[in-house]
Amino acid sequence: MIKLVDVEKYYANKFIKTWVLRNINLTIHEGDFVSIMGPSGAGKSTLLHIIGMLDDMSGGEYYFMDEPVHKLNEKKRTAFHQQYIGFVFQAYHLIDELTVYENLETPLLYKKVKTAERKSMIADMLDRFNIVAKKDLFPNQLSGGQQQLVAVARALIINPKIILADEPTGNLNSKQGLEIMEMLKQLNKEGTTIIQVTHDENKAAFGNRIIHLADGYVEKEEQHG
Amino acid sequence: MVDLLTSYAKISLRNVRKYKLYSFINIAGLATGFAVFILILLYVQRERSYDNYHRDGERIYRVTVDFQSGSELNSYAFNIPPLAPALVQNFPQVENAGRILNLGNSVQVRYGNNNFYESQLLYTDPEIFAILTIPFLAGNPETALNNPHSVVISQTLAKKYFGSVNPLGLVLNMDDRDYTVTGVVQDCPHNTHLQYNMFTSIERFANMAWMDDWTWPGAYTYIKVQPGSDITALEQQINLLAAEHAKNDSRAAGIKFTFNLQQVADIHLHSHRLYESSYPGDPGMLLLFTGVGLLILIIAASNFINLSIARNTVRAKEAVIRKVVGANSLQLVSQFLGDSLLVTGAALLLAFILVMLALPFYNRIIDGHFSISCLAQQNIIIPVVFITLLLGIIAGGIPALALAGFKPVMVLRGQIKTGPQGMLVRRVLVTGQFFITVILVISALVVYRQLGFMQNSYPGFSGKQKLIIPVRGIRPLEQNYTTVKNELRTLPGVAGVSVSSGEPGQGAGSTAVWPTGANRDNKQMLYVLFYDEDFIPNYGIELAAGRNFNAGNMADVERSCLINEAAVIALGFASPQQAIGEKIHESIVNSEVEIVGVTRNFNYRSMHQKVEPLLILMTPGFYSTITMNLNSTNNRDILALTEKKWAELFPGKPFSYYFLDESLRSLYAAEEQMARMVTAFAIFALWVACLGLYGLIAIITGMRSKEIGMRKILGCTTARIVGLLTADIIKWVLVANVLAWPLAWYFVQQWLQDYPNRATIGAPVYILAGVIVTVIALVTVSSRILKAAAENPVETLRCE
Repeated sequence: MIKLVDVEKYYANKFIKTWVLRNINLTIHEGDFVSIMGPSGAGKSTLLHIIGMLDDMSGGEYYFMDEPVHKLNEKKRTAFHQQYIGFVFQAYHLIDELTVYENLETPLLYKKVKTAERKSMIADMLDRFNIVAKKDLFPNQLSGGQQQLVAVARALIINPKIILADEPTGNLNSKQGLEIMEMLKQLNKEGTTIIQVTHDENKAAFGNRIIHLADGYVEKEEQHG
Repeated sequence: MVDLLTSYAKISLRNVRKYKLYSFINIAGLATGFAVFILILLYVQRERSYDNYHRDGERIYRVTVDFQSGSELNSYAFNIPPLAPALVQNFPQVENAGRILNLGNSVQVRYGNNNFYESQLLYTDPEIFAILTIPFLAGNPETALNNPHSVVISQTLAKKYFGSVNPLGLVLNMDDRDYTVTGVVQDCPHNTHLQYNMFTSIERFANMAWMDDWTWPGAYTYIKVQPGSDITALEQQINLLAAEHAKNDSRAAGIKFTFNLQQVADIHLHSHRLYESSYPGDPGMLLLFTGVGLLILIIAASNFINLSIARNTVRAKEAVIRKVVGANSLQLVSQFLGDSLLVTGAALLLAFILVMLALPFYNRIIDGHFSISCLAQQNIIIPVVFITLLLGIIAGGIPALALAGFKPVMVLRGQIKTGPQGMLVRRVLVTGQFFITVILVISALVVYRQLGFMQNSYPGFSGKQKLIIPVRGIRPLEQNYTTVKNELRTLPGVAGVSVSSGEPGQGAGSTAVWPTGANRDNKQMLYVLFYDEDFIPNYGIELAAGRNFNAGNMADVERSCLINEAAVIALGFASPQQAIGEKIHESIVNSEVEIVGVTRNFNYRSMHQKVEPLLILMTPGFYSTITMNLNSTNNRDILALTEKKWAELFPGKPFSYYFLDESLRSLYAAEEQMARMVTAFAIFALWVACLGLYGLIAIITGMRSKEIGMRKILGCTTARIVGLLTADIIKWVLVANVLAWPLAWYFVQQWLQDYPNRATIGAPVYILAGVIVTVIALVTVSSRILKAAAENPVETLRCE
């Protein structure tokens, strides 16, 4: 599903190139649950952003469902977002001025989903995450765990092939964090590919593959059952 | 698409509500800017619309004449009476020509019990109706004035005198002559230089010598030329024709005539001649007002752009999230554009409401007749909507493009900064606003000072406690002025009575004068007034040499004159004493008169002009004004007694009066209007600039809250923090002041140049303007600064 060949990323400053990622070769299959681990500054988030097409790479090739992303224009990439990719962030990143319902609605609006269909999709999602009662509240009226739940719901509502989660439990207490991880595990079982970035060994263990990054290189990879 | 728009609208409205302060500053500021702009546009459109409604207007001209004698040039709005018939006779390209005579005085009109004075009676040739567009509601324009005893009246007059009865064929009595109503015309529109109320035939004066006088200007002359006529060539031909006539006329010796054609729509704004039929417009003023309107709009717009930029940080996050969940750049740009158009649109709506509320006051200030329906014309709607859209697109577009260009990762990682360069732009914008405001405040102060100077300077006579009674009609006081004076003088509370051709401030006619024996070609044009022997003492006018007229001295009535000091110089006498006993020839009565006295220069016109050479004669035929010196403060009793006496002296004539000090004040109506307008502009500019300043201080205190907290923890007192923040803001206001002064000084000099009598405008005016603006700025920011300085550092330093 995803294939990275010799991907590299650096920031060029007059004389010095600061390397963030080097020689990344990685293949991710449909149905994988990949955890990317490593110390701060290892390039975890950058790698996730490149996979999520939020950031450009400096060199190498990137194939998403056999399409060469490194050759695509912005319009095509936006089309990929809309269709295949859902994001979850550490800081939730909900739109503060919109209610829970409207936050879930936003991606569907950009996908031009018809009103009736949209309503039923949102209703399903609210039901599935057990947040029907919260649909008219604004993000700042929810706890962190609830906000992240809405963020996951928003990522899922477009029925993505893959969810990219950047430290999804980083701002949550352990109970809430566990709930989110269980949720992701469940989604993975239902067929959604998941890539998460994390510091936390325990959270990483939810994945079936753990990729360790250090100083921009893939240091090692572990496979779990 | 609709769903997306609903979502955008929802979030826009929530933003308006959530950021109340910003929304208020934006909408209130823009609405003020738009409202001022609309009001100015109304004014400009009105001024430019003068006489644009005449059919074939591009072929209609007024013919005017310049008289040059010696160094004196007089440009008259009207022309010599025999010219119009001569034009039609001599030049095939002149399709039609007509004259209008406006004696300027009121006539007494009677029908049954209705008995009033009416003004704006025009004596015209019937051709006028074929030249100018004056729509008839009843009667035939081609034949209406064929009979000299016919009159065409306006709709309003028809209603006033005849009610619902058809007036055609009915007889009106005007100044004791009977006229048959032969036509009713639409009321005169406000936007014409030639105001009318009634028309009657100029034939009435057919026997007068001046109707065939090629040296006496007095009749407005309008022509309609054939399509495609060469106007310059026609002007030259007219000059040649007139020169031919002047050759055979001894009165024209030494005078050079030049004729000019003015297109009818150009007259109001571009003709500033003697005896214009209405107060002309001032294109410079139009330009000035348009400029000021745009400046206030720019101030409001810069507030808007300023705050949009400030809000960018907040909106950047939303933009990026939208990108991540699938929005493309175009969708983002259109959302933010829509947002700013929503604000500008709301401001426009509010502006229209403000304009509607302000119209009655505005009409009073600019002497206008605007109604709400005036706003619906496309000349107003199109530019205003255009500017609204333009502003919305600029103010929304710049930040939107910046937002759309953000790389999502930069925002999500918190790498977007609003650095110090953004602050500098904002400070420069606020400085610019105050720069404009200071200039406007100085202008307002200067105009008021000049107005006060003109109204309060001593004009060379005493205008206090003087009751003026105009007497209408032809030679109205010639026979009975002695009786009238004696009768009125007996009234209690009356200190003196005098009669004259007019009171000071009214202006004067002019006549050619030359010292006897001197070269007749060296004529001088002198203004001429007619005073009785009591006028000079009653008005406290001082004599520089010689004596006043003597009562009952027939020699004085017929052969003596007074001149003023300016005339002494103009006529070439060495001193006032030298002039006494000299004889001069004057051409009004065409007689030789002896100079018996010289008055000090007094301002017989208005303070707008310097005191020109003046000739004073005693001829009773020209008396038309009674001045009563009152020595009591109980004016009501005196008025009642005077009215009673009037009824005995002038049976059947309505009594009218006014006080001289009021009529003198009204000479400066244009300056008063300008003073009020500039003051209104200055207040609006100050209001909008203060809105911007308040927004800026809100941003600054918000951004510096952590710094303020740190300073307090390190031991800085609240007072010092207040000082720090105040200095940060006020230094820009001071910079604006200092920059504004030289430019304001330049404008003031330019404006004052047109006034021969001008107030001295010193540094205190500039400093006062600076103090006013700075104090208001301080008051504006103080509450916000005090609040920021008093904040508990524990609150501001808490990490989120």
